[in-house]
Amino acid sequence: MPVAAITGKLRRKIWTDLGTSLGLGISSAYAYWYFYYIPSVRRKQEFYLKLEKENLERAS
Amino acid sequence: MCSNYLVRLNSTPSILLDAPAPWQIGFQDVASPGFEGIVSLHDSIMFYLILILVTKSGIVYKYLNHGTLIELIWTISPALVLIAIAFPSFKLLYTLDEVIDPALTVKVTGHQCYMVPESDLEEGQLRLLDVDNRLMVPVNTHIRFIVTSTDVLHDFAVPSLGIKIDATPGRLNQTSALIERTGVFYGQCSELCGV
Repeated sequence: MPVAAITGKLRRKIWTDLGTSLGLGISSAYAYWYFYYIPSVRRKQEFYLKLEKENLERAS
Repeated sequence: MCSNYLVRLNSTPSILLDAPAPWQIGFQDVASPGFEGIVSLHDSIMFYLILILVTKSGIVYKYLNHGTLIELIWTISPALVLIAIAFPSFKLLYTLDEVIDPALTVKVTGHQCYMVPESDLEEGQLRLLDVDNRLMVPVNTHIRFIVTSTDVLHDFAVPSLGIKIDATPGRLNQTSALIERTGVFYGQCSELCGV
């Protein structure tokens, strides 16, 4: 029995593939942004605010 | 300079990451506005880099053998991304180059062939990073570093302050730093100077 020609795979899967890859890419980038970058900036800002407060207290 | 150097700002012990740590991947902790800008630019670029790398990780074009349009898209879009990165990068580069009215000038001269016997290290000192005489500079003061060398090319670098400048024989290079917090900041010669 002959095997049917494997054709049209790209056309059939293009939206799934595009959606999956873009979805994964965007969610990974946002995961990095919200779970790594934003907390690190917040930690830094809190440290410098605390430092500033301590300096003001020391000065007054 | 290859004997390494260190900036000590006061006697307060620092618990921050101002020296390289084993298996460290990220940056050292920021201590100057210049380095803050560098880290910020890097982190913003990382967002787009992760997006591009994961998106292009083989899911889209797994059945694709040839396609002129897609070839064009993935040649032109990285070029546009590079142009988009170039603008903030150049802005930061030229901003870092400015030496704003320094209140203090430190001249740094690089020397070759300094060695420290390991037996001289005291408890708690960092191997290949600690020095006998620490350079002490004030915080919240614009400091200018004038950098040169006596023999071969060296490079004055303190990662936490975002400083990395070549020390060239017969030439004076300058850079500046505004240190925002107290700490003990470590750096090494960042040029292949033969030591």
